[in-house]
Amino acid sequence: MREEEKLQKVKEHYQRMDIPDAAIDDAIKKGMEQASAQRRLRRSFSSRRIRFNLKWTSTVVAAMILIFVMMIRVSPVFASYVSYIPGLEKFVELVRFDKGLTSAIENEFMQPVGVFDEHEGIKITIDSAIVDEQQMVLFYTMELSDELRDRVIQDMERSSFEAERTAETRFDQLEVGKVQLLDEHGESVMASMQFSSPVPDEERKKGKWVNEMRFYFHEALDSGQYTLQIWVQKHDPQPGIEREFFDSTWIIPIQIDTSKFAGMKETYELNETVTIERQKITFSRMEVFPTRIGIHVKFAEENTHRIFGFDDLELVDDKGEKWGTIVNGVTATMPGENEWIIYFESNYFSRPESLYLQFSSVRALPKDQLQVVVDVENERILKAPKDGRIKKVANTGMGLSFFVKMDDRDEHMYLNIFEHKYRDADGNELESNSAFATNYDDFGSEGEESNLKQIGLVLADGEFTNPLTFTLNDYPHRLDKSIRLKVR
Amino acid sequence: MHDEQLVIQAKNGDDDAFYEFIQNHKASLYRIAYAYFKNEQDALEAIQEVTCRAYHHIHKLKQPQFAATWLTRIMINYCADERRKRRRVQIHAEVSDLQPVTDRDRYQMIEVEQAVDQLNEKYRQVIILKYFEDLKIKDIAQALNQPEGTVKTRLNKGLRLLRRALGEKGGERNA
Repeated sequence: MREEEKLQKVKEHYQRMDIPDAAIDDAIKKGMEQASAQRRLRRSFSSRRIRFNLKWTSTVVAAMILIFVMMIRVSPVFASYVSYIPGLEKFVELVRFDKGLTSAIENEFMQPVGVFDEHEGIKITIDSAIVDEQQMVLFYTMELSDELRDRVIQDMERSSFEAERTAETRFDQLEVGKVQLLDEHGESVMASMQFSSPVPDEERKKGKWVNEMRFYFHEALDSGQYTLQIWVQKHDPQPGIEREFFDSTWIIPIQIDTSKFAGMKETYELNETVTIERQKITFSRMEVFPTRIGIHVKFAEENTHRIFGFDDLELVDDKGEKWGTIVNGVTATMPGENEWIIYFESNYFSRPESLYLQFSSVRALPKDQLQVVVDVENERILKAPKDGRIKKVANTGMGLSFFVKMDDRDEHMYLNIFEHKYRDADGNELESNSAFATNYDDFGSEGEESNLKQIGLVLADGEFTNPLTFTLNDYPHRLDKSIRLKVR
Repeated sequence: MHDEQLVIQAKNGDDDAFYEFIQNHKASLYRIAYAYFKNEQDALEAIQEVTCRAYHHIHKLKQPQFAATWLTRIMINYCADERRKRRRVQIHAEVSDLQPVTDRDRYQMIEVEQAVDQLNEKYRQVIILKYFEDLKIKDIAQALNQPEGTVKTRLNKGLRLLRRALGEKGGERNA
């Protein structure tokens, strides 16, 4: 038999083969879900919620848990403290990525609170707090009635893809959705807030889990009596589905012991100026608090470049122990146009004898290259930084995507490169409320660039006049220079 | 609805249209994956991955009339990559669990499948698309992003290699 006839036979078998229709449909849905899930860094600008990068966290979990286990074993004092604040191990796990906060707990800096409120089958208990004059981390437990827990499980087990297709109310992301902190006069405390870090599914399915919320005070705390108001959301906001809240307000009074942190702030004057490719950067002051360290940085007005950020910035002592910048939470504040305060994990309790600030590069661009102009209709870039890293622009399922050439070192870096406000050709200011950054792995067509990331914005609804002008807020162009400054 | 219309809608973010578009090609995609992996589980995984890639990259599809060949290309690329990865850990060629009518048929099928399996990837691709999926030379050329002439050359060479492989095996059997 000739091979073509043999092939013909095989082909007949293949054409007659049973196709598992249902299983294939399922695989297609999963593929679409997977694609949606890969839209990382989807972050809502309008709310203050800040989320972990899940992929990254899972890799570090094991090591950090191990450290905690060892810590309990070596410190009998700490072990007794563990029984003093019930559920402490779980709270330690919530702050495991911040060695300053971990060390604050280890040094018994945590205050027990233990107050709850209960409505609609949801009990919220504020268990404990780590507080200093700069910030407050509140640890809380959510506990659901059996009935509500079953509803949550049911909603979680429906595929998220299917759920996106129906506008039904779901309870799969039941969590604290809105918070207000009031002082003793009932006035709102000026603070930035962060809450509702993602809860692991298996915890949520038990109907009981712990989480944290953070308050970054705009002014130093002075009194100790506060009231917390909490609203609970049923699910995350999604395109086309408004976020829904339970009707009740959970009201929890909390008493903070301010004497625990009074006078703890330590200030070190630095006044060191470094020059990197003619750009002057001055490190003026370091302030050490129990929950974090703030380093004040000034950029000279005459600098030709705008500096977006430092790479690998860290504090290190003589023994090589390192304290990094804050990864989950407020990373920096900007009191003035050319002035930053960058936050680091605190070493308040470990008191290193000497301390150095070091980094090896900054991300920066000439100030006259910060605008990106795009003809959205024809998917053409009209103006972009001269280094040519923005390879192309396209309207994709995610939004307006820019394909940006990154360095090898940026493999795990997902920069949101644009400010969320932009302008159209008539000068109208528009605002995007969602951004994304994802790896762009090509499926094999030839001649594609490597290290491309797809970064962009979901454009605001409604009409606009082409072209649009975006402003860069970050960008993978570097000025390299190794810097090491003695700060203590 | 037609592919072209579906793709245009999918590019505008219509998930239902995207789903329907993949649905229209699922049998063909499944068979190609099956030809490579010879089992249902891996073929389904391939469909999931290909769907995911297509979803990410559908904006790149400038000419919706080539949507079908574009999907085929993603699948072929996935299969080839996956095969290359698996080769390193796997020695035995897999045999499909399809159930041919007679033992003789079954024997021949295994023989052919194994022979195709041994081919260099560039010949395997064209043989699978031409003889298992019955695509026209023109469509194969598009799916593989190669000139038609190249596809024809590879088909001829592939068939010659198959003939030799099958012939040698036949020889052993008679001996």
